[in-house]
Amino acid sequence: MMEVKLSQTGFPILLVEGKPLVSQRDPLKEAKAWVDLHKTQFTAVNSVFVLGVGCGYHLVALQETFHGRIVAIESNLNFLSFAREHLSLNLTDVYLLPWVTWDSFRDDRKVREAIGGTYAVINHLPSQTTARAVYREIQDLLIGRTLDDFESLLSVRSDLNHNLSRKSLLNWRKCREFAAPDQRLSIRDLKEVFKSGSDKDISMVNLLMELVR
Amino acid sequence: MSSRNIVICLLRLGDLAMVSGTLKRIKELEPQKRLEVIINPCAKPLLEMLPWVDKAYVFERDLLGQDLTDPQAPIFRATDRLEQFLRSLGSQPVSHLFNFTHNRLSGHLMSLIEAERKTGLVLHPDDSVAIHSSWLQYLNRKDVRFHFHYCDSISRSLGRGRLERPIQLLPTIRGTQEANALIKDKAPRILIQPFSADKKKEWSPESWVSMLNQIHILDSELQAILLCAPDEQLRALELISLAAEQNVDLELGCVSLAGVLSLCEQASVLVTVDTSIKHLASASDISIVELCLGSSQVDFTGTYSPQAIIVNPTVPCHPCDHSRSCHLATHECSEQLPGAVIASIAFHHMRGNSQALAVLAKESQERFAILRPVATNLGFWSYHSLDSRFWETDLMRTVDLLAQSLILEQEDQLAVPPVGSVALNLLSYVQQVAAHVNPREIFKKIERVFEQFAFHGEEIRQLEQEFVGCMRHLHDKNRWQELVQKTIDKRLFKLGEYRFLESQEAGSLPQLNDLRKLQERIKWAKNVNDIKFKIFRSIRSTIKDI
Repeated sequence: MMEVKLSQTGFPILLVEGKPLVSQRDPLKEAKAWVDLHKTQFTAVNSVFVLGVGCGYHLVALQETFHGRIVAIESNLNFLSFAREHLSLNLTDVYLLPWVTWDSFRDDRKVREAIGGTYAVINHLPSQTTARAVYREIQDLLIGRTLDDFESLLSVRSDLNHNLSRKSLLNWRKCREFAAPDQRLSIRDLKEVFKSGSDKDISMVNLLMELVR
Repeated sequence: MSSRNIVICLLRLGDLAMVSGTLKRIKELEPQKRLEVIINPCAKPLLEMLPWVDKAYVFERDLLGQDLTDPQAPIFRATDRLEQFLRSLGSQPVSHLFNFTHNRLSGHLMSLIEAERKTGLVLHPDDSVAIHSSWLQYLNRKDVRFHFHYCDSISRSLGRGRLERPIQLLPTIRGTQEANALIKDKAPRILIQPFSADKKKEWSPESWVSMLNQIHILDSELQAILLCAPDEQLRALELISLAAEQNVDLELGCVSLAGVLSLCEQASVLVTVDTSIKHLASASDISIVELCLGSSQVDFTGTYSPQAIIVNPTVPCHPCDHSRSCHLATHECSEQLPGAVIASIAFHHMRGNSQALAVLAKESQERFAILRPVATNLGFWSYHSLDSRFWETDLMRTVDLLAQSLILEQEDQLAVPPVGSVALNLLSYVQQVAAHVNPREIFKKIERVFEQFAFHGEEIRQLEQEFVGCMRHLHDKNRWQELVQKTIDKRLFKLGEYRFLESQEAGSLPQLNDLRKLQERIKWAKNVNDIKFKIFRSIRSTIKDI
């Protein structure tokens, strides 16, 4: 059951089954603290994917500090409605997106633009109480460090995969599954994948490998 | 669209300072083209002192490193960030691309940037390597005992001979204001730079205080300023506090790099460990005393200033390995330098008292050497010991560098190599450093050296035969290892001009590359020895005529 109350500072907040999603005292101050906690994650990236809209105050605080593209994903439509109703004037630079499926998500133009550049993925855990597993799945997809997630992400990145041969990708995947199916992918895997890519791809990955030697 | 020149200098701040004069030279040679540099974030503060650099691109290696090592970072973020960086370089044609960094990362970056001409290490996607400069290729050499200064290797890669002043930085208005805020009267100043990013290059705080105490006794008017970066302030205040306990006045000089340069323009002397500050100071005329501790290597990165004195400890472990911390129970190289003696060195150096310095050098030679860099007419930076008894060692080093220089410039392959003129220049250099020596003694030494090179020539001929012999055992890795290490490496080491080098991993079979490198080392040794033999033959003839 969901209800809307006012915080001590006079801002509307959501309660789910009697539990507040944000601070009942000062949600704005809590939101600023959340932004400060995650500052290092969104330094020097073009976009931020925030997983969980909740009451939306953390997004208001984020857009004051981060001036790139913000895409906020929410699986609970009631939370989205709350944010749109109470914070529509404040969330001018935030793109609110309901999560339905990966296919509908990746077909979204703004999502494709964000994935095409540098981005960070940040969780707003209080907003995720009702669907933790879903957000974990979204996070994994956006990070792309498992075999399946990697291929899903690559399917969005036509700028990358047009250089790569399908056969070598399949061969690489077979080797990976056999060797270490659960291990997180790293730059070393990119090196294997881009072996079949352009000279530029190979040089770029070789350069990056030097940073982790 | 007019084209531009780009220089990749992805090293530390001090390294960028060392190529500052070369950057200026590049701009002077083609003033109509923009000069752009690719640097690390730490080198940014130097840019305001390099007005001939039109634009700088900062390579955010730390951010890339985080993208690669953070498991929560999206898998493509590092490649995307790198792609954005490459796009930020713009589409204007690049006329000449230089790599003064000379490591694998920069080598790959070179292959990612299109240019009409490339100088320096390029690593292609197919693993092939190109360098396009014998002087930059030389930077890789770890086996030679006498090495050119980094500044010379870089500046001579332009193919225009040696630069008189390879370190050139211009003071700024802001820097001058900072210095003026600190130095408000006309009292002479001594600057000290005690801190280094590498602890093993540092001198103990007690030694610094002892030095300052003594120098105050020698010159009570001299006021001391402690230079430090903002993140070193805490340590600086501790040192100031320690000095105060000994009634030594020490002022805090936490200024920008531009401020440091302006302070050097006004102060009398700088006493420093091996840091970027000594390179900055080389752009001014301040007297410099460098304490060459830990892994600092005089030959490669000694203070490149005719106003410098370098104090080099004579302990077997020095210079130590750059990548390891000091393995001894005490910091022996640092302990070889008593504070009071360094104070005397600084005092007499400031006053230009060469005789006093020579006496100090002679008295201290078992603990450390006092070296003076010289601006030779031989085409490279060199130094000689102020202890006049070491003139022979200085001579041998200089001859070796001279021979290497001729080979790197490919002048040894000319129909008539300029051995005669080189010999005359060398002779005048010998007369300069060995002015106190009886000419007959010099002639005897040259005779001995001449015979030594003849002997070395014979040794190298045997070496070539042994190499052919080793080739018969390519299938036997133990025999190969034994032959290479016990014969070839040992012989090269015995020649005196080469370090003992591990040719390859123990127990592994030689690859084609190993054979090629070994053959090149032997060929190099032969060519260098042949040139030295010719130089000394020419000197011998000249002296006989005289």
